[in-house]
Amino acid sequence: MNVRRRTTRALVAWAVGAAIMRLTLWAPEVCPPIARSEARLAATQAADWIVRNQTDDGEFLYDFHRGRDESSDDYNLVRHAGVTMSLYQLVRGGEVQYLDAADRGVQWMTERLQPTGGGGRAFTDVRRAKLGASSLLVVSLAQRRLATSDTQHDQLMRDLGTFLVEQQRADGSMLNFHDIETGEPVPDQTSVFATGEALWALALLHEAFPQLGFDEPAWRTLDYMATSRDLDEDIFPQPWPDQWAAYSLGEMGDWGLADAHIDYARRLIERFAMIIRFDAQRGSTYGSITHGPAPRGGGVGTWLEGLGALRTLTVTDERLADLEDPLEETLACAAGVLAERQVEPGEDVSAREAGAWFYDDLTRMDDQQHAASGLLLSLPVLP
Amino acid sequence: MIIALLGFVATVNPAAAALALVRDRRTDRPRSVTAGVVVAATVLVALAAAADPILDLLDINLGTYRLGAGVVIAVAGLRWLVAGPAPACEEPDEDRRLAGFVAFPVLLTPGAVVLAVSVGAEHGWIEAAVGIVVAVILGGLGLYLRRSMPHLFMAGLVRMLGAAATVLGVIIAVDGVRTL
Repeated sequence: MNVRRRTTRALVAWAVGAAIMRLTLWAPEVCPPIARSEARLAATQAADWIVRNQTDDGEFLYDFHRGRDESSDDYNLVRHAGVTMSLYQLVRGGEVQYLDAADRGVQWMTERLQPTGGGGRAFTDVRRAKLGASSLLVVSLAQRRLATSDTQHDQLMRDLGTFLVEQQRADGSMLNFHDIETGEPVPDQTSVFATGEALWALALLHEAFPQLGFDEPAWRTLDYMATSRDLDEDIFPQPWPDQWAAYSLGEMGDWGLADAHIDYARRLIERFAMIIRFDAQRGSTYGSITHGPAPRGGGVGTWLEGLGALRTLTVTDERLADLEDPLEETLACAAGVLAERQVEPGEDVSAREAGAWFYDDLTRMDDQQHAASGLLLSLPVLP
Repeated sequence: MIIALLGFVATVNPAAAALALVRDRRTDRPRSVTAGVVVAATVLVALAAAADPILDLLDINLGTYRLGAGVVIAVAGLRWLVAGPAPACEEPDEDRRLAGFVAFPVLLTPGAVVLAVSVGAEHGWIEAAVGIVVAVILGGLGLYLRRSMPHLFMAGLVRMLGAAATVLGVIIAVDGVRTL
């Protein structure tokens, strides 16, 4: 082979390689700039969608397909509790106009309580109570208590807490279902979502009632999540980008987290940030082709929630201080990306579309829930 | 510093440089080889020094860049590991052409180029420069002294450095995933 031929071949290989890299792994990350006021507006528009489509008895609109102009008959108690929780987060954030709607959401849940075998109460309308529904009801009530200082639901919070502890196994993992008829947890069935939801609820219960000992089961579950949960649930790649774990770590930040917990928090931050960077690459002219369609609004919202909840740890715990600036930059990027994908309200936009995020022409109530919560948590880092 | 140095040695692969030209002609042109070494070193150091503007130009952050750089380094390393050294070329008659060939594609390898930007962005151009200079000088020496080196040994060394580059690429890619 002569030198000219080898050089030419190398040049061609470099050009092809560079083009492939630019189209895929090195596609530009597009972060639309967003001001704090714009993010707050986007969050309230999402909450407006939730409230505008709520019935008088407190039930929320579950979903809406704009192509077919119809909603399904589906409903989900965990998501109902999550949406209510999000409204209370907004109330805590100063948007008090959502208190009445959130209270109606709670009223709807308190009409669906069942006694459990261990002396607690669970939120369910079937004979099999789901852990996540009661956990997020606790979180809703805790957020309400923090926002209003009203203690009228304290006994219910304690009863729900008793139920959560009933579902805990010795290693800190949580069983997902409780059989109301037998009064026993359903064995061997766990959920990748419910464990973190329950942990956050236990942490908030300890914050509200420090004398009742909810910190002990909270530590046990945090230890489990930080060290074993992802292995037990066959998560790959690890860690599971769990915004509920992030909320929990943020809540427990001043309890004296061990190095293993901080390491878990660091891995969660890294995971959320990587997903957000990849999503930002969809904003380039060819990003939707090379990186696939944009995820649900709820999906991006959970990443914002995760980073937003963990931001406080990077500020208060020196072991994570090196992540503070890049985390805030990533959080702001995700807020801009998320807000840009929201359907802007307007005269020709229907009440079931305005303020929502659609995926394949479908929006679901938790899209608005997670997006509103995530945008709210991003406010401190925005100009 | 040491890791950056080893990284440049693995990605420049001086053993592959030593086998880039056939061994049957006995021209002796140290100036051309030196010129090629200087050009390659200058380009790589310049890339390391301009790392931040390059990332800004690409509109990607360091983590995203390192993920891609790791893949490039690992693929280049795999090629050496699996296929061994590229077929040796006839030594060109013109001095300028020889110098150009030494610089590119012999010393300016894809792995070295992407590593220069990565190390430059993370540790600064001075740390990168030390590794770059050592690696390209080794490459130039290998090329110049190729006739005195046992071919089989050098071919084995190419694969060994390829394996090292592959491992390095995987480490950089994983680190890129974890970098905010």
